[in-house]
Amino acid sequence: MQAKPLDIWISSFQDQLYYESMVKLYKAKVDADFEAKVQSFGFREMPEKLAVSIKTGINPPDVVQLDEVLFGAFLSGDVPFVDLNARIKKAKLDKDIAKSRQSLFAYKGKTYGIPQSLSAMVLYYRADLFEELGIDPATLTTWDKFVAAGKMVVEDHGKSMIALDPTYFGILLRQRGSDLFGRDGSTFPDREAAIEVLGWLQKQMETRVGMVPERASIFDPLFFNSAIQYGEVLSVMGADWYGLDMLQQFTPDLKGKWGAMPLPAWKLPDGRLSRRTSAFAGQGLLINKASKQQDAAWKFIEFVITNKESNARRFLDGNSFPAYRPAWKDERLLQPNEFFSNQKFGELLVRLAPEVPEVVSHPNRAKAVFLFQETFFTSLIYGELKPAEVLDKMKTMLEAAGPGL
Amino acid sequence: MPAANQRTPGARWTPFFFLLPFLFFLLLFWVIPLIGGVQMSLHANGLGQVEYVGFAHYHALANDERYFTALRNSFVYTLASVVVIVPLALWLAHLLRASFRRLRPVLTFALLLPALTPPSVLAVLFLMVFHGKNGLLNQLFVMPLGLGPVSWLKDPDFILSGLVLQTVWRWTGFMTFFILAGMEGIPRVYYEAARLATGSRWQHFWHVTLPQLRPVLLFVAVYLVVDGFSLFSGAFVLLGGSGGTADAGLLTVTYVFQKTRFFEYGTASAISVSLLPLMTLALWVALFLRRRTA
Amino acid sequence: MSAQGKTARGALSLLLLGPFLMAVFVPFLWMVLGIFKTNAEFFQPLAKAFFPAHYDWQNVADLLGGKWVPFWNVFGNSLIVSLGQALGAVALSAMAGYAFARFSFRGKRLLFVLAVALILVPRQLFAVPLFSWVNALGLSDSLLGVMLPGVVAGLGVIYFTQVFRQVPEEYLQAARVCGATELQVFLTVLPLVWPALLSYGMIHFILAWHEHLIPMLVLTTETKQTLPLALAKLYDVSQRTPQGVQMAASTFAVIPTAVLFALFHRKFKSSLSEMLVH
Repeated sequence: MQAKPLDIWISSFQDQLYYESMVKLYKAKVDADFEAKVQSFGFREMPEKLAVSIKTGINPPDVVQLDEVLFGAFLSGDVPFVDLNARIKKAKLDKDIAKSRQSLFAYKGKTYGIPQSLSAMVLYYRADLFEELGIDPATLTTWDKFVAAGKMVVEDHGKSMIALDPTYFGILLRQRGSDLFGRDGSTFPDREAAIEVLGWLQKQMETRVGMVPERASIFDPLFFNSAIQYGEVLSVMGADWYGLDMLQQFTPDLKGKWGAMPLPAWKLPDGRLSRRTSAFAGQGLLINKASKQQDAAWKFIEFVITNKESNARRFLDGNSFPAYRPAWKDERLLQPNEFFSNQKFGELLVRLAPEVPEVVSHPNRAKAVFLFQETFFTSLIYGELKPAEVLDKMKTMLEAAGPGL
Repeated sequence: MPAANQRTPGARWTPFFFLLPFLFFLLLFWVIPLIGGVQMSLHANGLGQVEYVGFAHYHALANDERYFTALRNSFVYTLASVVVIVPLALWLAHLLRASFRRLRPVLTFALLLPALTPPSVLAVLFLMVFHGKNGLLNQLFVMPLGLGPVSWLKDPDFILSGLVLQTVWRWTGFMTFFILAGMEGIPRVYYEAARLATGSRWQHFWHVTLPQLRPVLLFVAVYLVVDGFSLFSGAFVLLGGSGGTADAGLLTVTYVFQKTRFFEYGTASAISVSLLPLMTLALWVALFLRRRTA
Repeated sequence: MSAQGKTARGALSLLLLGPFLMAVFVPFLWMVLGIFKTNAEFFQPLAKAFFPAHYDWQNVADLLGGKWVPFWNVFGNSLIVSLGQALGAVALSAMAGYAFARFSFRGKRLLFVLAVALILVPRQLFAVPLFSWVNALGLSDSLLGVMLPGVVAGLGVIYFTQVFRQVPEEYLQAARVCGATELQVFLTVLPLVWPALLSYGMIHFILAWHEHLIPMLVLTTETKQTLPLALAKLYDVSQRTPQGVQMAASTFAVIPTAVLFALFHRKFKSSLSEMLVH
């Protein structure tokens, strides 16, 4: 018998509904006496409330759901979450969760969370417009070919090939095998790659192959209803959840007009081609160190991560594609998808899964992501700052405030 | 029975009797947490056990370009909103007084509507209004003039204007309401006395209305300073916690938010505490100047 | 002024007020019309889709029926917290303002400036320590824990200090001559400043209603939250909850203030008419 219900804090209302149904399922299948209180606060409010609760030690929850980007902010100083390494091994999750995703919530040899989604990046394109303009997605194997096709789109049709977003910086870096931070804790470990990616973004804007949504974000509701809806832009990069959740929510009448394909590859300095995918964001489940019910919390998390139904629901309800590998065999995930022109969307993701790069966690990761997004992206795009200047300024800002000060 | 004294009626403790409830709650819910906040500003950032770092955060701020950008922006933003809102609200209050009396309550209430709109709704409203070529502001006012759409939220030259525009929209009606109440409270005799001396409407306004409204205007100005410097409102809603391109719209509150977002409570507290002497000084000047001219 | 001149002047003023009234009324109308829109309609460029295609009351029914948030609960909480704060703030600030305006004592200026300067400091400074302090007082997750910190209003003190300065000294002296205690003197002055008490009460009510930070930290249980807080969780990046729900809730939130204003307006008028009718 539990002393008190498990407190689970979630950042969105949709996920609250999902976890409430998971609690029901868990009670039916595993433990009839299990009690849990699932509460959601706003996606801005939850991390703030959680942090204050941790800081003051007052009413901390047992289990929290956090996005990997925000997770980084909890890494300076004592990490307030339970190290799950031993439990992960015992449950064989180290074999069953996609390799690259296992390090998502790991830092300095400890693992603090279990990722729920694969978050594989693909290129979403307007299949109807591609066909109309005579672009065959199968030929867009490299970014060079992509840009060449894009120039034709701009010059002959006055449209843009791709919508640009600040998140692309990290995404493209990871596609090239680098990241914002190095494993050794360094900032921008591969300076050349970073400069090339920033320069690429700037160039696309300059030649109008790329366009920047009005709010400089591909997550802005009005972007879907204007630039996308009017067919002003033909493609956008996004993780599995961008297509499953956002595109389906905001462009329901473009059903059947979307396609998804692997990202075009970079030509790397050594002549090889890069991988065809990348990774960005994704939620995970973590246990608070102050929790007095860590075992009960783990059992529930393990259930949610490994249960066939719980994984299928996340995909079928239009949330994300699971990181738990055995779930990839579920036929329901592999069916032709009407929204994506009857492509087998799940199959594409499974195919890309082995290539999905790791995301390097770092206490400054969230800061770097927000800093670029809020301060430097537009300056770069409109040519006010050169790529090297952006890098240097960001590096100085990120390194100036060492953790703790 | 306390002896009636022209300057200080009642016993010495009488004023404190009236002040006591306020001071009690002030102490309980503001001064005690303030001490906690000052302590936080002397400790390292982060969530766990943090060490004492003395004035390190304050030293860091002294060399922090963004801190000074935020101060400067907040100052410009607040000043601009006072300079625009106060005359506009005065004029609106005057128009309300001149319009039909029966309509006055309805019109006054209508002007309050922006202040009644919850910030969460404002966030969506501003998204639709301040958008680029699909935004209402551009579609209704800018593009019909044959101009290109203004990027209110991306163009560093327009970000601060956008911020001022929303605060003017939001608070002018509210301030009109207070000024109107102040105008209604001016005893008629003053105007009648003035009428004997001079007849011009403008001179009435200048010599009777304005001096009489000084207390209200002081309140209005302080309100706008509070809103500009310490409340988490329009700027946050408009820019979603960002400072905008090149920090053109970074305010002190936004900067504090950006620090708390990454649990840098030490730095965040230091920024806030550093404003206290500035504000005290500004307030002192405002009150002192008021005295001298009065 | 002749009756005709008055009408002409009224009409001209109304005409000049027109653009401002439009600027405040159109967004309000947008909010109300938003109740009936689907999310797909809602996020259309405004000039294109200002009016909804259908007037469907489903969002209102869902909101009131508690499909998204325990509406009556949280609406009631907001009402209690905001009213309590407004009453408390008016009482405390009026008393303090009276003391600052009508008495001279040592350290008055300093006390006044310090008390008011506190409100000028970003609220976030107080958040963490206030939260642990409220919890230490046993008020965490309770409406009192939100209400009590909110009764301290520096703005109110400034406001009432100005207000009580304007009360003619003869009123106070007359009361004192009749042998009233200082508290009784204060109470006889209060009716004179009714409009001020009510106007300040109203703005404090509005500000308290929109308060976000302190309620977010102090209140955890769903049924104990305030309305803006309960609504905040419904909206994330993919916006699955209809915006119409938020628009309906926010439209309803205007009602208490409208009622206060209607009540208040009569008071306002009665004390005015004495001054205007000679």
